[in-house]
Amino acid sequence: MGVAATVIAKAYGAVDMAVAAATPFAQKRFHQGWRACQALSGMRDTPSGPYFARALLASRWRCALLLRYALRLTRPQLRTFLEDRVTYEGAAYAQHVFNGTRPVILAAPHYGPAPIGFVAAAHRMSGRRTLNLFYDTQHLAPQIALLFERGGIDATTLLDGLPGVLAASRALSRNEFLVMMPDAFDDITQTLALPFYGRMLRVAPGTAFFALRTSAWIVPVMATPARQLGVHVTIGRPIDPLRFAGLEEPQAIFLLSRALFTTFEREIRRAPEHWYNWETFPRVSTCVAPPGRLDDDAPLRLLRDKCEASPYLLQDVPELEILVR
Amino acid sequence: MDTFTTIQRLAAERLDIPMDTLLRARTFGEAGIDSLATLDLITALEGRFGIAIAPEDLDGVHSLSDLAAVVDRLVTRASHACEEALA
Repeated sequence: MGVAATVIAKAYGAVDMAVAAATPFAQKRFHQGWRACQALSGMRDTPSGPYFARALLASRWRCALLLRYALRLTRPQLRTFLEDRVTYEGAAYAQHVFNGTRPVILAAPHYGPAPIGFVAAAHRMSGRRTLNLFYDTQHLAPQIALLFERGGIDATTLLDGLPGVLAASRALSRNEFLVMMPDAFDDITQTLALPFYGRMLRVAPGTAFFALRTSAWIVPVMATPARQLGVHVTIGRPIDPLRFAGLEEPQAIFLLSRALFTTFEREIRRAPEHWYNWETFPRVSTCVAPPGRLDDDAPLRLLRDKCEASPYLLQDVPELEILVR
Repeated sequence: MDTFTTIQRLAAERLDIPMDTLLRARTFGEAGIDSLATLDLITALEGRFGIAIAPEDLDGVHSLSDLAAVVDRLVTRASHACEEALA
C-alpha cells in the first residue's frame, strides 16, 4: 500500500479505536444501540443491555468509517486493501460455484460493511465479474457504484420494483451474479414467516424464488469490521436450489429461505451488533408459543410430523431419526 | 378480445385470482399480484403475443391496464418492424 494510503489507514484506524472507546458516552438521542435495546426489551433470546448498546453503536461508526476509507482508495490501493486487510473464511466452499457456469446469488443480510463484503467476495471470483445489485439509486448507488468500479467489478444497478425484478431474472438467465439482501422489510407485500432468533420473522421470498426459477446457487456473504480498519468476510456454504426441485414451489421457497436464514442467524449470533435491523425486528416478527412441560411429548410429535413431511430434514440432520423414532 | 381482457383472463388462469377481483382492482397490489407473480404473467404474455418485454418497458407499470398498454405498444412496434422487413 502507498505511503498516503497507509497514513490515511492509520488515521482512520485511530479514529475507529477512539470512537469504539467513546461510544458509551454518546447522547441517548444519537444512540442507535440504546434505541435498539429499548425496542428489544422484554423479548426472549435477543441481545440486550448496555454492553450490546455500546457494541451496536460502535459497529455503526466502524462500518461508516470503513466505507468512507474504502471510497477514498484508488484502484490499485483498493486491490491492495482487499489483499492485505481483508481476511476470508469459508471461501473454499464457494470456489467451485464461482468457477462454475450456473448463475449465483450473493445473499447477505443488512449486516456490517456489506458493500465491502460484496467487493471482496467478487475479488475472490475468478473470471466472472458482472454483478447486478438492487441499490437505492437516489442516495447510495453512486458511491457504491464507484466502489465496485474501483474494485474492477462490472456492476449493474437494478431499478426498484417490477423493472428491477424482471432485470434480475434476465441477468440470472444469462448466468450472471445477483446481489440480494433478503432481510429488507420496508416494502414487502407478500411475505413468508420463518423461524429466526426464537421468533417468526416475515421475509421476502424473492431470493428463493429467483434461485428456484433459474437454478442459481445461493452463496451467503457476510462482512464484519476487524481491528485496525480491516474486514473479515465470511462466505457461507453455497445452497443448491436443485435440492428442493422435486417439491411444490411454495414448499421449496419456504425450505430454501429457511436454509438461508439459518445461515444468517448462525452468523448474526456470532456478532449480533453488526445487524442493522434490531430496531425493526420486533415489528416484523411475531412471538412463538413458549416451550411446553418436559413430560409433554407434543413437540416431539410435531417434529416427527415435520420429518415425515420433509424428508430432506432427516437427510440434513440424521440425529432427528433417533429423536422421533 | 382486446389485450386488456386477454391479460385479465391470463392472470385469472395463471395466478388463480377470481375474475371479479381483477375487474375491481386498480393496481397489482389490490389484485393481490406481487412482483414475482407479475414475472410469471410477463413470461406468459411474451409467449402469447410473441413479443419481448424489456425491463425498461415496465417503468411506471402499476396495473393490468398499464401492462396492456405496454403489450399493445410492443405488438404495434413488432408489426411495423415486420412490415418494413417485408417491404
